[in-house]
Parts: sequence; structure tokens; C-alpha cells
Amino acid sequence: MARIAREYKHIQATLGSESSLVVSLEPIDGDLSRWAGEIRGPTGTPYEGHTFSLRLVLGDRYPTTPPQVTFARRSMPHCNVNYETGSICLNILTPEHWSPAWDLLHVLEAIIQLLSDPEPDSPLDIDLANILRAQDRSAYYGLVNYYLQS
Amino acid sequence: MTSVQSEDNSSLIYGDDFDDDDESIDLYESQTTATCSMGDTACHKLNSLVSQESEFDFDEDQFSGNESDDELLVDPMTLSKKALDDDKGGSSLKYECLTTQDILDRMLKRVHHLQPVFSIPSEDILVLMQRYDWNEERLLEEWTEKMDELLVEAGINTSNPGDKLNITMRGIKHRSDFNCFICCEVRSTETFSLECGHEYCIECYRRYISDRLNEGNVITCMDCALALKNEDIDAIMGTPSSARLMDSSIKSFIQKHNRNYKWCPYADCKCIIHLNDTSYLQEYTRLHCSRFVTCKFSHIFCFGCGYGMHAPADCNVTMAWVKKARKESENLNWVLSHTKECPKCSVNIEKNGGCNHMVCSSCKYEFCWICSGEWGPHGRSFFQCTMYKNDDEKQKASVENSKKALKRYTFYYRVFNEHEVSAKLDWKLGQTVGQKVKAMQEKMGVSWIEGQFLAESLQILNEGRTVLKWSFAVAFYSDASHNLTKIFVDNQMLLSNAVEQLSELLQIKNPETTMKRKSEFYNKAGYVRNRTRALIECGRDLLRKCICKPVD
Repeated sequence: MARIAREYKHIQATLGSESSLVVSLEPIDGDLSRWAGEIRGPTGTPYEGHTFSLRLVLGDRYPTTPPQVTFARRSMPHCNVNYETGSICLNILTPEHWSPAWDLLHVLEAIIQLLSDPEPDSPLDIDLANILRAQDRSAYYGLVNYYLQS
Repeated sequence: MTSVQSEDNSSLIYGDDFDDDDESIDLYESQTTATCSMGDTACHKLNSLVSQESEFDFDEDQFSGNESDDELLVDPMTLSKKALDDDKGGSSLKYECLTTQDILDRMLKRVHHLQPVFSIPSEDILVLMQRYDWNEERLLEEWTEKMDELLVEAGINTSNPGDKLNITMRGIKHRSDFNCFICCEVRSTETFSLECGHEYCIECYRRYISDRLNEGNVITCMDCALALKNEDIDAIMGTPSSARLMDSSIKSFIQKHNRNYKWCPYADCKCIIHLNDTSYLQEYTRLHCSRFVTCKFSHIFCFGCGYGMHAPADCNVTMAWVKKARKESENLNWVLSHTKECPKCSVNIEKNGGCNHMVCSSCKYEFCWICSGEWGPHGRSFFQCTMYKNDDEKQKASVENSKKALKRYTFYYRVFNEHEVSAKLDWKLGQTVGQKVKAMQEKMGVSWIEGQFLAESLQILNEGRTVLKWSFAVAFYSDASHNLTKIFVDNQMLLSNAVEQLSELLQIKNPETTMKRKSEFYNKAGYVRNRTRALIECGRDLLRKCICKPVD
């Protein structure tokens, strides 16, 4: 608990700068085990100019075990994100690869990184992954934009 | 009794106790030989390989007492050819029974041999070997190519040579007022860090390590890629925990090499069978034989498919049968209860022994567990209840047909299951047999060797039941109208009868009676063994001639 409390203080101190892609990150209704986050789409990607909300759930054993992170349902078209449920396939979020030395801000940064560098070899959205594998960037942009606008 | 039976049914008997004068059998035998000689060099090769099995495979100490094994497991057809084939050098057939510890010991030995080549500490080589899935060749290859990069990748050195690795940083220290970044508790505690200086409290490190011990991968520092060595892990945990990491690492090694290593499928058996050369396994498949192996604890299983001993069925039939059983049990949700009502007085009876000859404890009615019919006719002639009676042949609608197919399957599955349950009960019986032998030794001054016939009989009974059990899978997939299938069914009945008789003998509780009837044990056990072999042989021929074809 001390750890989460300190992270909270640290987050409050660092957030708010204009350059950061992390817009906000705070506990929901004062409950330190459930957090809501907001990130901006990184520049140079089809996600630029949009903001996305995330939900982070910290288990009892955090930071020994990784937090569970999901996008809002039907908000993120990405080959490593399940569009319907918002669940994310990212190796550092699995118990084998997670390190207790990482914190919630690291997690959000890693997700922003994932938006810039999609990993079509371990896809949750097969269609988008296939387009990426075919190296058809304009089709990828087009499809993502179509989803984001609808 | 036994011999009378075999003479009675000589035309039906298939195997080594048939009558030489019987023409149909002779004809049949010549066909078998023809099939074999027609088979190409592969067939010959297999024969020659198999023929050496008994010479090379069975460690005398481990396998004494079940000499029947190798005869049972080797294609009986090739047994007769043994004398003809004396090819040398069948080391590829050798298999060994190991535990994870045995495999680890070998790996450690290899690490020891590699040490002069690498000239780095053994602990570091162990980390490298783990990283390379214990693949020495690949490791050596990459070592010669890019030694420095390899050391960085494996977490033995850091990537940046400018980083000062401080040896004094490594290890456990005691600190007062230490602020651990992970748990954010400030207190005086023991801490641990590697040369990188990423220092955390020992509690956090313990939690971190214990979560990863079962994954079998190299554990690194929580904040960088430097690897923890086994000595570090043990020091942090305070117990020899690295053994668990090594164990899981070996397990994942076995998983990756599952063509050559197979776990014994028996519950709680930790044996691994290692077969060095699996190239000839395909030949087994082609000839509808299976490569059965025996672990240290006499568990027999198939190296091809990993299931327990399943002769006379081959792996395809076994897989099809198991798959079907799984599917059907989902569909139908069969409740095959372990109790039955007495057909006469309807008292609930639980089967507590392996024998299918039931005597109702309340009304003394004797009946057969499988068909619920009166026992009377069972003892004298052979079992009618193992033969599926196809009585309504004039069914019209296809609905009726599928119903019939299901009914047919239900029948076979039920008998299969009954024998499985019986086999399990026999196994329990086996445990009491041990006590019985002991009791006899004490009471009657019987020597150990003289009491062995009980254990041997039980072993033979077990094998007989297993073969009988799987023979119903073969029967299910066989063309019922073919003459050979009929012979097969007759053989099933003979074995079934033999097994029940032996099972009944083993139920005797009084050791004196047991000793008196010793010769009966020998006779019946010998008979079961012969019938078992004959049924296996017959089943294999059904498969070879494509009369038995597994379909979904």
C-alpha cells in the first residue's frame, strides 16, 4: 500500500506538463486499486489528435504481479488490442515479463510505445495485423481512422 | 478345464495353441507370413531391430519378474524370426528411464566438461546453458562467433563496458533505514543487489523469485538484464530453491524435446523415458505396432502416443477411440454408475473386486456384472455377453440408424469401461496380494520365491485385462461382417473367460487354500497369457488387413 501511495504522489508531481502524452492518471473514487488513465495518441501515428481512456486494476499483490490494463471498450483499433473488449496484448503486462521495478507510469509509456510500434506477430486483431504484415501503411491508417471516426 | 476348452473351440482359436490339423488356421498363418515378406526392407529392418529388444532394452535387475513384457510388447510375428535375425548394433532401440534429477545431473556433468573451453565459472555456464535450452552445440557455435555479445545477452556482463561493475555490490547486505523502491517501506532490513547496484529489500526479492521458480527461465535483476545465479537464489531464499528452478528448466527442456523424451502417463509417476533415435517409430506405425516402453515402476505405456499400454489397438485406433469417448461423454453425459441393482431382488450392489462373477449378498443370486444375466452359462461355455447382438436388423429410418450406431457404441464403451474399472480394482487387489504373500510366509513357512506365483498371476491378469479392454476399441472399428472379425470376437470371449477365472482365483482370502490351489494359478495364468498374445496377434492382423479402420 505504501508503494501505491508513493506512486500516487509521484504521479501528481510529474503529470500536467504539456509535452507528456499521459494526460491524466488517478484512482477512481479514491480507491487505490482501480485507476483511470488518459493518453494522447503519439505524433506520426493514425492515433495523433485523439485521446484514449484506460482502466488499470491493481491486484492485492501489486507490484509483485502486473496491473491489468484495458482500453475502454470499442475505442482502440490496434492490432494488439481487442477492439470489442479493449484488452491489450503486451509482454511486460504478463506475469513472466513484468518486473516489480516498473510502475504505473512505465506501463502507460509502454502502451504509448505500443501505439507507435504495433507488433503484428502477436495480434489480437487479425485483420489489422494482416494489413500491417502486408506493409500496407495507407490501408492501415485508413482503417484505423475509419474506426476512430465511427 | 483349460485344455478342454481350447480343444472344444479349436477352430476359433487363434494363436500358439491351435491344432496343427486345422486347415483354416494353417491358411491363415501362411497369409500372415506372406504379408510380412511382401513388406519391404522397412519391415525387415523393423524385424531386425525388434529382435534385439530383449537383448538390449531390459535391464535385468529392473525387469526381472515380468519377463512376459518383452514377449507381449514385441510383435509376436517377429518373435519367430528372432532366431533368423542376428543383426548387430541396435543401439537405436535402447531407451532409458530417467528422472528430472538424472537429466540435470547429466547436464551438470556436461557443464563441468565445458568449463575448460569457456574458462568462465561453472555457475555462469549454467546460466548460458539454461538460456540455450541446454543445447550445447548451439551454445558453442554462438560462443565462438560472438563471445562478448553472448555474455551480455545472457546477463553475465552488462552491455555498457563503461558501467563499472562493482563486485562488492553483489550479495546480501544489512542496512538500517533502507528505503526499498518496490514496497516503499523504510526499515532496517537485509537487502540484495547484483553488480549493477539495483538494490531491493530481501522480502521483495523473495516474492519476485518465488513467482518465477516454476517458469524455468533465467531470473534476472528486477531492473536490468543481469542474471541471478543459483547461488544467489539460494542465498536470497535461505533454502536450496534453485533446485526448483533447475527442475522446471529441465521440464521445459523435456517439453521442447518431446519427440525423444516422454513422461510416464501414470498418475504420480515422475519417470521420463528417453529414446535416442526415434526414426524407426514410423515403421512401427506403418505396421500397426506400437512401441511400448516400461518405466522403473513397471508402468507400460506407448512411446508413440503417450497413452498407457493399448494393444491390440494401434495408436490411430487409440486416438480415435479416446477422442470419441470424450465427445460422446459430452454429448450423452453418461452416468456409468459403479453400482448395479441385483437383477433378482433389486438390492444395490457395489462391485468391490475385479471379478465379473457377482453373488448378491442378500438373495445369493449369481449373475454377470457385464450383462446382468445369470452366471450359470458363463462358466462353462464362453462369454456371450462380450458379443454385441445385432437383433433388429430391419430398421428403416436413418434416425433409427444413428440411434443404432449410438447404441452400438454405447455397448462397446460400456464393456471397455467395465474392464477399466475391473482393472483398477485388480490393482487394489494387487496391494492385498502383497500382504497375502507375507501372511503365507509367516503362517506356513513358504519361501519368498514360492509365493511369487501370486504376484506373477496378478501381473498377467492385469495385462490380460488391458488387452481385453482395448480389444473392444478394435472391435468397435472393425467390419463386423468379416470372418476375421468373428474370429477376433471369439478370441475376445476366450480371453474374457480366462481373465475372469484367474480373477476369481485371486479373490481367495484364505492363504492355505491359495497354496493348495497353486497349480491352478499356474494353469490359469499361463492360459491367460497365451490368450492375451493370441488376441494381440489377431487384432494386429485386423489392422494390417484394413478390416479395422478408425473413423470419427
